Amino acid sequence: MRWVSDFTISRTSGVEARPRNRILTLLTAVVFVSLFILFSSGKAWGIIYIDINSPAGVRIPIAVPDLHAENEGGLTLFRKIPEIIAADLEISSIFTVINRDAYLEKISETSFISGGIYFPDWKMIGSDSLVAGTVRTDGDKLSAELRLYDVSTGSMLTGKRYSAPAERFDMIAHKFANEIIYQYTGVHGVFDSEIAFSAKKEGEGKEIFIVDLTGKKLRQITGNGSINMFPRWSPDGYKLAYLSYRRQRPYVFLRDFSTGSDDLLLRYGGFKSPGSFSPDGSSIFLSISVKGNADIFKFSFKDEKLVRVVSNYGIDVSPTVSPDEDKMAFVSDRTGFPQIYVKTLPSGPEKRVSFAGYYSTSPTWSPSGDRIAFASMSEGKFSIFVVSPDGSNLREVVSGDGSCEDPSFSPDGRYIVYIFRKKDYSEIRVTNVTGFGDRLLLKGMRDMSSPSWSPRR
Amino acid sequence: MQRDFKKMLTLSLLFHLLIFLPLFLVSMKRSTIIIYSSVYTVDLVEPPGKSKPTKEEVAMNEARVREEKKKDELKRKKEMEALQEKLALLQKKKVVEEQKAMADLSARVEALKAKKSREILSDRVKQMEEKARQEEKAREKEKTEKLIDDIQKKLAALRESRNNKQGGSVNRESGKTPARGGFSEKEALLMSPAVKAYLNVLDETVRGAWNVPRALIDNREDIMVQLRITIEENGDVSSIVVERPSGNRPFDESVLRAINKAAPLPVPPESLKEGKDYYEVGFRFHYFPDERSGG
Repeated sequence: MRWVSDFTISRTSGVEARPRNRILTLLTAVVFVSLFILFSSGKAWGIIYIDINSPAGVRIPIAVPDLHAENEGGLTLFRKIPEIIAADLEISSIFTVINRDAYLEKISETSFISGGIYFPDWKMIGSDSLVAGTVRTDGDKLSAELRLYDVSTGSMLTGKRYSAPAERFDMIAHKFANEIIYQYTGVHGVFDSEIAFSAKKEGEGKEIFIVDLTGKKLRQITGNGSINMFPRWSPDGYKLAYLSYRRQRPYVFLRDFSTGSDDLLLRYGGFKSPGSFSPDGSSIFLSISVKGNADIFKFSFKDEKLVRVVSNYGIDVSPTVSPDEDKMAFVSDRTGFPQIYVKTLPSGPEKRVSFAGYYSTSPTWSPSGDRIAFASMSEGKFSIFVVSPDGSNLREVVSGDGSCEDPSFSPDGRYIVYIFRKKDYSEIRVTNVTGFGDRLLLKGMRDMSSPSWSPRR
Repeated sequence: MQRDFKKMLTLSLLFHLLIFLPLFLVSMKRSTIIIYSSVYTVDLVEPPGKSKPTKEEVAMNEARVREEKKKDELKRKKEMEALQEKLALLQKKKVVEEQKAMADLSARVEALKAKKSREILSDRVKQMEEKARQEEKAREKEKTEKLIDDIQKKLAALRESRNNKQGGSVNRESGKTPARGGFSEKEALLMSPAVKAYLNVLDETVRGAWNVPRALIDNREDIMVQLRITIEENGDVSSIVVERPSGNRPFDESVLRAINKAAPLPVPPESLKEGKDYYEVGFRFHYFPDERSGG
């Protein structure tokens, strides 16, 4: 029994007596344990997996029935508020609102107050979620309680009680719509924001207008019969800078909605186009043409100082600043055709990021900072593209049988407003950044241009 | 010496077996299950201005609840009826489809047979020609015959399956470990018409409840969620285990909503439950961004 003599371990541990039998025992044990492990589990047989490839829908179905009116006054608003919420949710392109004719139930006092909403009735009509609430008015004061339910589980996702002047019922509706979006995405909606733009209404003057996201509430901001264009919002959403010819020459004005003032901001140079405010609102980046060559300047409001940021023999226009004010994108024709460049501020390198069409313009930085949208021309018409600030991840967002121009991001960075133009016709459209849910916002005016999405209020 | 070597080899083998087999098995047993916690936090608003309900109110509420229960039962009945109708329709559809497929196959067999006879004829004529060419022809013939054989077999299988089934198509995949003994048994179970019909209804029910908010899925790649659910005897879903999340929150949530909305699910046939009072089934939800369209 010296067959293990080559093994020091064996020799020292003295494995001498009947090693063959021991090994056999061990082997049997190992095999048995293995078999036990293998077959002890019922799941070893495997379960059936069903592959599901195409969903029934590409939006979340939601029901927004009439609110329960708690008093006479509530009867004037019990339908108006849900109608606005429904319109907002449709705009989001995340939800589809189920037609109210399909609703099997009304929200009554008993069902709402005692928490006895009969959810199978709402599930029956295919709804995933439900908005229910009550409303009352006392004099010109309105109070409403709104709740969002998950229909499958019957659980309340959120509930809010609002009070406001009765004529601001639309604000309450927008706020709760924002809340619904928040519940499903983790980011609040933008339904209380607005879009400023310039267009010809009557006559040849081009005026500044503001429209809400439903496209129904339109306000005219300027009315001087001259040419007013390039409205740009301040970060707090209370000021609007724009270019106006009302004093015959192109000057930049600043409209302050909180005070009602409308002051001349800048005379210097020839043609100017306001680009974007700095993120802290203390200054504005704009392009100014001096002696026929447009360069980019930064104008600070406090000391009224003008600093040249980009200077080049080519034309440099349309500055847009990143949310951290670290970088700026702009248009330059230094290589012969206009393209988008990104400059590291204040005096870093300038790098071209647009490699879509041969003619790219109107850059706008997303509020989240991770991408830039711009319009690029190929085959004679513009399409909207997005690209990362380093020039990667270029992709087309929207194009059509006309030109898609002048993009501007929503404050949550999820949507882009732009101008659709075909010959003499123009309209304002809004699309999701993914390119999904593209829709008309406003038409019926001539030569609409340069829409600018306001911040959240 | 040679004997020593042999023994050494045996010992070494055993040693390796001893160490690696348990390791391998243990690693196989370890599951990568992630329990998906609830995605919502609920912040309840107190119902305003309602103090303790009076007796009449309590009674009213109770009456209401009773009524609702009745209503619920009626609705369930209706739903079941609707489901059964759907099932019948599906079965009809399948039978028609198979008849079509059979007719198609027979036509192909006829065509191939004709081809074969023509080829034999031409073979005889050319018998005096080069030997090599003849051999080539023979090979081709063999191929054709094999093809005919295959198709005839398929046809037979189809006929057979048609004779003893009313259920749907076979695009199911059995679970993780198909190669371990008893597979044929499992497969036989899967082929049974009752099981197929059930899986089809399950598929339709869940798919019908699935709404993906496409606007929220800013994703360039295909994504997939794999999950496993437990269906109780009354059709309730008692657990959802997400085995592989997609990494895209809106997508994962849409899938969970779909399961919750589809519940209560159709009750599985006894043969699937294998004697247990519940049934476990998995789903894989796929999303292909290329198919995105406007709307």
